[in-house]
Amino acid sequence: MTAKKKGGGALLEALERERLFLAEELHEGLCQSLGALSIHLKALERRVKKMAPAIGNDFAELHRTVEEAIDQTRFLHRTLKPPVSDGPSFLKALTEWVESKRGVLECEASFHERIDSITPGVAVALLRIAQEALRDSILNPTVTATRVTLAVKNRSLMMTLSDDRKPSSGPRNAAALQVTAAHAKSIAGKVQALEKDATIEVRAPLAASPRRSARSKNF
Amino acid sequence: MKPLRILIVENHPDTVKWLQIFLEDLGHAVVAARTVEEARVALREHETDVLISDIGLPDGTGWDLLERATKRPPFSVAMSGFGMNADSARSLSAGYRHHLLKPFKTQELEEILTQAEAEIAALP
Repeated sequence: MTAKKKGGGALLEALERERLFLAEELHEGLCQSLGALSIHLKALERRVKKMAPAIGNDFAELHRTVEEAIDQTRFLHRTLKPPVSDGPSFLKALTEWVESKRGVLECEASFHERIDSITPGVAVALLRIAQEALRDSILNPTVTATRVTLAVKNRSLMMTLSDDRKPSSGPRNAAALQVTAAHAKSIAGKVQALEKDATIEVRAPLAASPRRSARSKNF
Repeated sequence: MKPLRILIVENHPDTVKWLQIFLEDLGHAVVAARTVEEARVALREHETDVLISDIGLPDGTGWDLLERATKRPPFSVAMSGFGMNADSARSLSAGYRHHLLKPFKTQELEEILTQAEAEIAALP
């Protein structure tokens, strides 16, 4: 293994460690405080409404703002530490990520098949790749629309991430592409940039389906 | 509806304080514990309709608490920052009826308590 390849793996590990650290800090600190604040405000809102309804409504508004902050914090926590362990949870996380960017870009996701046989490592790596690609699309001023597709071909999962960038807008961010390549490598997958970087195609191996293996043994 | 007798198990001081006030304002009788050991004592000493317990506690887990409880409350709710499907499944297999992801919204808790009230009122 070359020093460059070893370096890619170490960089990924360091990135994941940092994300998990931030997720923990967020959960143990800000999340707990926001949760307590939300309950606190709701209790005050109820008490004050009985005596002074107008001030009670102010508390209700404050409470709604805190609940919005809770939604944002939950999303940030899930981005840093995605709750993915299998195919369905990966699809749910990917859908949520794509939907969260719909206000910024026109985002379309199409998943043609159910994906059952996927390991937690592959799920997290593919999600990180999609996140990097979407971030890169958002940062490119010529991009107005993105598309994510997933399909199963020859026991591999094909994830295609494309956007409508203008060829003259320059290549994708080199560091993001490096991280993407390292993620793909970490799961024995392959990644390639096509059409002057407008499309990223990732092929990841699927785990053997336990049911299918058992059946083939019987035959 | 009859007020519920609720045991809260949570070690975050602000959360436990305001959760207790919030539930008492709704008319429920609330006892609070901060550890698994305190909760075990509370479950022995107080009749409890609803257990609302954090999963990560200083001296163990909310899963152990319910699984090893000699006197199980009729309705239990787990609160946790662990949001994986497996964590939720673990809570349900331990005997919790809901796995509430922290930080939760007060509306989510109120809906669960409405369900608890109806089920407990229907008990013989």
